[in-house]
Amino acid sequence: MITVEGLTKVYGGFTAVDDVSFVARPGEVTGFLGPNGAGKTTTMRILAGLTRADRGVATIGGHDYRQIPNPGRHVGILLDASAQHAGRTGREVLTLGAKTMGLPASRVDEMLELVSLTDAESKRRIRNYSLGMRQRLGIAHALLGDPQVLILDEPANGLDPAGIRWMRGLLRGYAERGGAVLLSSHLLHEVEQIADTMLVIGHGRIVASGTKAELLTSTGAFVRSVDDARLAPALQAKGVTVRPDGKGLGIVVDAEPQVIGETSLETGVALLELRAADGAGLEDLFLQLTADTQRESKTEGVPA
Amino acid sequence: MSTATHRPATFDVASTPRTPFVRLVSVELRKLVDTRSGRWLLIVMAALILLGSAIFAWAERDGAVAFFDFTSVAGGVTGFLLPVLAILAVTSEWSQRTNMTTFTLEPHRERVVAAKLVAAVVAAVLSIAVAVVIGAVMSGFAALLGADVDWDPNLEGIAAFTVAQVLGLLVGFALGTLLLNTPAAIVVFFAYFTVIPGLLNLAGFYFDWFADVVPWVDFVSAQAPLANGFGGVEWGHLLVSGAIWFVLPLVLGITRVLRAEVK
Repeated sequence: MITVEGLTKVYGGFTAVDDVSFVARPGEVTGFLGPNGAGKTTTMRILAGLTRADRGVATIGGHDYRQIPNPGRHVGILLDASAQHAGRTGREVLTLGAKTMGLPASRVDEMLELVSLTDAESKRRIRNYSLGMRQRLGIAHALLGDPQVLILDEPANGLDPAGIRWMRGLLRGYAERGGAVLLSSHLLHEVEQIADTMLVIGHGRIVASGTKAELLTSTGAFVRSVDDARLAPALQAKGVTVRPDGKGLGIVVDAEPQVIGETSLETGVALLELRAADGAGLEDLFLQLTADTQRESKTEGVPA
Repeated sequence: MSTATHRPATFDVASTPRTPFVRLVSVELRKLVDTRSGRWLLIVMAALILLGSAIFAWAERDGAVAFFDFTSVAGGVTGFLLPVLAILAVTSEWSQRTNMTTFTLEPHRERVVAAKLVAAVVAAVLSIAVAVVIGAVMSGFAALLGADVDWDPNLEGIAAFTVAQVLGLLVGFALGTLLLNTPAAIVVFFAYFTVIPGLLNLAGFYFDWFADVVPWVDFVSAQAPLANGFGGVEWGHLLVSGAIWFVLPLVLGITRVLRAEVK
């Protein structure tokens, strides 16, 4: 439903989006994961027709966004929940959207109910809204026109855990009814909970993509032996990928335990430990894939 | 939410009509009054016209009053506040960043700009209509107080007054699009009508050759004949000075709005 091919955007000398390609299919929630400044927002802005790409194409249902008539009826967009007039009420924001799209006023009440904003809250000015309430309002605005595609930039930002669970249910239901969702986050656990397919972006480039399962299995097995320096070349000789575990404790091997065991037997290097690579595999993957794009030199302490 | 239905896998836009322009205008009109600042601007405008007209009627209670005189009282208010209204209509979208929503719901920005322009003009004409009604009421008030009231509506005069007011509003609109910043646009607008004519005339005073140029570049003086009639050369002055001080900023401003990165 969303197709991006070879998308590139350069600001001055800075390449914000660098040859990005992906698809987001109907019936799926596609998670767009990356640290701040990785190019997620720029990609979404190009999709929404707010920014022009220097190279490549970004289409929704085969159309350039600008060619979609009354686009709010087809594509729901939330790019920044705080980008609303502080002096308008939440209800007024939805009313303006409904009027622009040619929807009945009853739609506003339906959306307020859907995102659990009470009647009293809807009559408050947005300057008095918490970020979580602004996100709910933004999601209500994106869903106003009953679109087939949703593009949400950091929608979980500011939601409490219950709010994130609510949004997961909402988006899951939306995707199950055939909608396509592209949502971004810089927090792994948010995307992990909500998305079917994930795109990991760093430095403007897609560095990994696939289903959660695919991304997890690629992290392989953790191996510790009496002599890793002898075992590793023997494994590599069999065409198996071997890499350091990053903590200096052992090696991570992309192979079945049987292959590793046989190699151990053949080389006479006894294994001390053989198990699936660490459970938080996706987090390691995320940190590893984005490590050189992080602002912090090393990801010690609190990870992004 | 009508989400019980399954969405078709295809993405069919052929049956969706584009957003009608009239709908965009009505939304832009609504935006003029749905915030406290917008609403109060209109309320203050009406209140000042009412107050000014009442004072005028009271002051002239023993003299002669023409119904049309009340337009100049109203003009003292609308001449400043209508351009501010137009400036706010444009710049508040950028300062409050609502243009992100506006331009995603209507990606053809030129339609949004045109709708805003039409909405601002409609608001100006309605404001003037209110001012005329207030003038009529206050004429009656003056008559009650004993003034000798000339009830000639002077439709031509009111039309010229309206054109001058709308022109002022359009200048505000142009500066709003050019600067995309509320305080800057308001300051420059007032400089337009106070500082710039003075500077031009000062330059004309010191440089003889420039004195002949001044009528062609002084947009404020060029608008004066709106009140008392144009000759051929006055039309020329208005067109030339208007091209410099209104059309040029408007063209540059609209170009900027169409291209600017919405942040």
